[in-house]
Amino acid sequence: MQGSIVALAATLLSIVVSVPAGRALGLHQFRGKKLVQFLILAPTIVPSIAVVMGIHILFIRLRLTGTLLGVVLVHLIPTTPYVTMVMSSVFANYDPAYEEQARTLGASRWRIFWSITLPAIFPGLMVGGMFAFIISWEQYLMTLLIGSGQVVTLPVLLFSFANSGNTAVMAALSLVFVAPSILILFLTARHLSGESAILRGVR
Amino acid sequence: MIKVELVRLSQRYPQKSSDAVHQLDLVIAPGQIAVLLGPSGCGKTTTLKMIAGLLAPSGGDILFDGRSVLDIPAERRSAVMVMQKTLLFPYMTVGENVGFGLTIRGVDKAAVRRQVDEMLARVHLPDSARLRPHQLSGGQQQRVALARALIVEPRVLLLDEPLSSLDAHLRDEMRALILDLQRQFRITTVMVTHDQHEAVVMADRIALLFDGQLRQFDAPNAFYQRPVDVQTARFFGGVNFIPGQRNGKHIHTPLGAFPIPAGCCQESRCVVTIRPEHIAIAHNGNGSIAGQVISSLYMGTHVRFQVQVNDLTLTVVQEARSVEGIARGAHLSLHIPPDRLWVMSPEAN
Repeated sequence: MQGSIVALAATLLSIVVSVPAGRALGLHQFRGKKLVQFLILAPTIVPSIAVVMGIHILFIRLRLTGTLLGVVLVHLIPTTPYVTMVMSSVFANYDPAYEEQARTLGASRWRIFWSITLPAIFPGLMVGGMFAFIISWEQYLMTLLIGSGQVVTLPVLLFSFANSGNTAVMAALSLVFVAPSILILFLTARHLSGESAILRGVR
Repeated sequence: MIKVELVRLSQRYPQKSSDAVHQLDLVIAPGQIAVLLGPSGCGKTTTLKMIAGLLAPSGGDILFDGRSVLDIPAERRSAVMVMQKTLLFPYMTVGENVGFGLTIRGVDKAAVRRQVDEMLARVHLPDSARLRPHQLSGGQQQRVALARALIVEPRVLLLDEPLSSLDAHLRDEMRALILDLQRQFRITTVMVTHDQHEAVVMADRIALLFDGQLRQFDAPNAFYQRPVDVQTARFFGGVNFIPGQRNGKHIHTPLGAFPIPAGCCQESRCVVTIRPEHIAIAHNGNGSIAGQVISSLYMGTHVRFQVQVNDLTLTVVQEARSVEGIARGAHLSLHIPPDRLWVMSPEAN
């Protein structure tokens, strides 16, 4: 279903964006850092309708309205802040000395990311990804406006049935609606409660 | 075995006006252990990181066998670091940790396993390949870190205070192991420590650093017999500093006139120093200097006396068995062997 494709795509993209952003925020100090942090978190403060109205016009010009890509891109707005916040706190507890050690042993940057960094940040990735998926899955307003009725996700479907008063279908759809969230929560529960060894330290 | 040269190496502190490392010139012969020694914050670890390629110098050059390595990134420089924190990768077993360097070079699994087992046996940890790092003690982890470093046969081995986090009895074992392995593999080694006893035991040559600058680069015994200045002598436990006036080939001090050894400072006002363990207590009263014991400190194998001689207080250290019965207030006759004296320029301030 389109909703799951959109949510999956939005999750992956927001992870790709948020991991470097989180690393920069968690590990480094730089000028304007507070401003950057504020800007990244701004979408959580500003209501989506305010944002979407402006973007809608831009997307019309870019011919992204009514497309899956357009909807995925706009979903990045509410999802990225959460994933970045999670990744930045993961990196704040991360010790880059392990990477230096691996470098002196001859590991390339890609190898370091794959063997050293990724296992350490994996639980955080799971949590962040879970946030992103659920947020994208539940999006109504943005999907409706940017999707222009051509991208139909579950919330959009749900509300149109709610309007028509078909309570039976609506009830069934509601269950389908919450199912992925519960499933994901279940699957990632052990990552939520556990801590990675690099974050805690080996001894 | 390669020769490592540091040529006017410098590293500037960001946003500060002084240098962390200032114009460091050092030549480390192939297969030697050079120890960078100095108080905390004097630039030793910074220098090590520059040799490893983890930090780019702000000035100067680093040569391996005469070729500059500044344009070679850390991952290709083959200068492996073992740090104070062992930094064993927690998501891998001990065997995977040790084999890491080989695995990333594409060595096949069977060969990796064989070499890992061999290396673990050499560091006295056979059959531990399947364990996880957190299951090992601190000393065992350090040995694994050492194995991980040596298995890739690096050109240079860099040790950053590898023994500081270990208990005293483990430190002796590790020291012996490092020396043993270094001799076997004949890898040029640079080690950093703030502990002068460790430096003296491990080094072929010691580079003493204060505030990022090299003070003296010499064999360990030179720091006891021929320290270059008062600060250096103090760092190595020298405590008897006697002012003197030079007169031709002799120096006149409150304790008498002594001939100046060859190679000492040429100034007219000098400082004479003698190690506490070299001042002899003359038992039948025919020493040349009379003094009185103000305090004595029993240190197990030795006793440390503070002896008042006119206006001077001399520290004398003797083996405990030969000074039994000498207590506070005792009158002593001291003898200063002239060949054990060393003359230096006075301290700057």
